[in-house]
Amino acid sequence: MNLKHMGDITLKIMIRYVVLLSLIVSFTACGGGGGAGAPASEVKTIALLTIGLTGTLPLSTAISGVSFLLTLPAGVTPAITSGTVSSGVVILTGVLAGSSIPAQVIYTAASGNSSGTLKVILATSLPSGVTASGEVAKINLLLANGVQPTATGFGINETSVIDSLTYDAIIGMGVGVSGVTLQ
Amino acid sequence: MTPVTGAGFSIFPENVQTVVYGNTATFTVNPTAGYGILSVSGCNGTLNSSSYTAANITDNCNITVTTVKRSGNGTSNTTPNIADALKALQAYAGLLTLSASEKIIFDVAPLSSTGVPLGNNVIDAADVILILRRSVGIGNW
Repeated sequence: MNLKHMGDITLKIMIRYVVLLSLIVSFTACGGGGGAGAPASEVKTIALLTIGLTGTLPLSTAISGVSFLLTLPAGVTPAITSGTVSSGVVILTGVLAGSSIPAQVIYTAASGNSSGTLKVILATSLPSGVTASGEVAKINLLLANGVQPTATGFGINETSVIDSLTYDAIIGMGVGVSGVTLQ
Repeated sequence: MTPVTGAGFSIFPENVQTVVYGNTATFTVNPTAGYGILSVSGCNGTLNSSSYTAANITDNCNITVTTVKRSGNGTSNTTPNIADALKALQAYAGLLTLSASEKIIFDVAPLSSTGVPLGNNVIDAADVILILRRSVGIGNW
């Protein structure tokens, strides 16, 4: 047998092994996405809003509660249980944390050109009221597929911060969305 | 003309008035703190704000004033509960229409300097918050 011919055959076989090995290594790398590779973008299903007081609380004034109307972007809704907003949707936090008075919430679903809204009233159970400003609630909302709202996508109107002594509105104070976290 | 006295209001003049046949007479009716005026009737009169004018008086007659206590409780004059606050909230949100009596009952804010409900002729967030807090024992109105 021709030695040169045998060498050519051996070289071809070696090249085939190298190509095959490269392909195996390549496929293995592609299948390893669950490790340290680049993660696929996660679908966000919950928007967690932080609601806070705005303005300055006057000296010698205490807050009994707050009220606001939150307008929801398209594709953002609260969880509903038996036709009413679920109890965990609006949670009193910050300066209203620990209140024994549950949040009062009315949801109006979007209809036609009208956006969905949440009318929210929060009250403290401290007899003398709250004498500090800051965060008052967190609101858990459900996101439709692909919806990723920002804080500016939520409208907040009809805000009232109520004095604990006279139950008049405290002039110069309001309520705003101070943050949105998507989960 | 005999103005009837009772709880929850003041009327002036408060004594029996003698009027020339066919003439008119005017009384001023105001609620006392914690109450609202539901109606004033008798002697062919009409109520305009706090002024009650009886016209064309031709016989003895009585003026009757009906008041409602600003209790925040839609079913009795006792301490309101969370259901009352929810009803006030629904009215505030425009989801239900209150009767004339209920509009007074749930119109509790603001409070006087002594902590008595004064009302302001509108059901708003302050009323809901006040009723909520009263339902957990805050305040003594």
